[in-house]
Amino acid sequence: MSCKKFEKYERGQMTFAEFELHALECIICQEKMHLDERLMSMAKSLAEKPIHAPQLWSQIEESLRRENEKSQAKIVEPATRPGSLRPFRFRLLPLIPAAAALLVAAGLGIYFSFKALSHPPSSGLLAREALAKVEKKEREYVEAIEHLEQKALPKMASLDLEMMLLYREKLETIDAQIERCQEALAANPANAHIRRYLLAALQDKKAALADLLSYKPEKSI
Amino acid sequence: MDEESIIQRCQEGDLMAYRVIYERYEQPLLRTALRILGQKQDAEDAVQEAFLKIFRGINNYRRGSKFSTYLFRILLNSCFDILRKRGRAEFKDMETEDLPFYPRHESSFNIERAIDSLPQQMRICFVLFAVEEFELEEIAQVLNKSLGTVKAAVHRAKAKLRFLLSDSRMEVKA
Repeated sequence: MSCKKFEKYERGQMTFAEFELHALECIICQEKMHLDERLMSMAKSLAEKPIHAPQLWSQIEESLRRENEKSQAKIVEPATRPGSLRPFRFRLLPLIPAAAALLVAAGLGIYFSFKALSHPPSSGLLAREALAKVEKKEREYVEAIEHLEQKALPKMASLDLEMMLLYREKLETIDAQIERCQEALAANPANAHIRRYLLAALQDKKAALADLLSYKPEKSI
Repeated sequence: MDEESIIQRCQEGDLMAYRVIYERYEQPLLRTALRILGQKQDAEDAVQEAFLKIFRGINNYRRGSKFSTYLFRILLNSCFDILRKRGRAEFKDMETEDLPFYPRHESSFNIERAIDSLPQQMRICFVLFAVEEFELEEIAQVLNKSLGTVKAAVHRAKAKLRFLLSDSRMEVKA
C-alpha cells in the first residue's frame, strides 16, 4: 500500500486543509506526518547540542594580529615586486612619503628644538630654563595632538579593517612610547635623553594623525 | 543590539563588534561545517577561515542581502576548499555520489548518523532547512542553486530520513 499525498502536500501541490482532510482517513499519511514531526523535532534538537571549540576565537584573533603585522612590515618594503601584492601595496603608497617626511621632520624637530634650548650639561640633565622651554614645546605638541585626534579618530573608525588596524597599531605603539617616557620623567624630569625621546614620540604622533587625516582610501574596483 | 548596527560597527572598525558576530554565529557555522566535513578539526578550520574572510571583507557586505546568507555562503566555500584539498568533488550531484553507509535495521535511530548518510547536496539543504531553520529561498541563495533544486533536495532528504526513522523500530538515540 502506498499513498503519495503527503509528498504532494510537501511540494506545495496540496493545501494543508486538503491534506488534513485526506489524512483523517489515510493511515499511511498519518504515519508519514507523525514521522516527519519527529524527524524535524530531532533535527532541531541538534541546534541545542553545543560544539566546544574553546581555542577558535583566540586563533582567529591571532590570525588577524599576524596579518596586521605583515601588512605593517609591507609599508617599509620597497614597492617594486609586481604580482599579487600589488593592489595592497598601491593602497599603502600614500604612507611611504608620509613615513619619509615623518622621519625627516622628527630628525629636524629634535635637532632644532634642542639647538634652541640652552645646552644641557654634560651630565645629561637640563638646566631649569631649558627644561621650561622643552616642557613648553611638549605642551604645544600635546595641544596640537588633541586637536588632530578630534578629527582623526572618527576618520580612523571609517577606514577598512586593514588600514584601521595599521593606524591603530601605529598610534598605540607611539602612545606606549610616550607613556614610558612620561613614567621615566616622573622620577627624573630633567633627564635630557628621555625628554628628547618624548619630544620625538610626540612629533611622531602628530605626524601620524596628520597623515591619517590626509589619507584618501582608494575606490575599490 | 540589532544585526544592522553590529555590522555597521564592524565596518567602522570596532573590534568588539567582531566578537559579537563571532559569538552569534560560531555554533551554527560549526554545526553546519561538521555535517559537511565530518571531522571536528576540519570544521573548526573551515569556520576559522570563514570568519577571517568575513572580517577581512566586511566592507564588501551589502546591506539588503541577509547577513546569515552571506555568512553561510562564505562558510560553504571554505568547506568546499577543504573538500577539494581532500580530493573530493566540490558539490556532488545527488544521483552520482556514493552514499555513506547507514546500517539498516539499527536498534536505535541516530539523527546525526542518518543525516551524515545523505548525499552531500541533500545533507546541506536539509541541515540548513531543518537544523538552522533557513527558508528554502535563502538556501537557494547560499548554494547559488535554483529554488526547485533546493526544494527537491530537502524533500528527498526528508523522505530518506523518514524511511530510516521508520526502519529503526522507533527507538531513538539522542
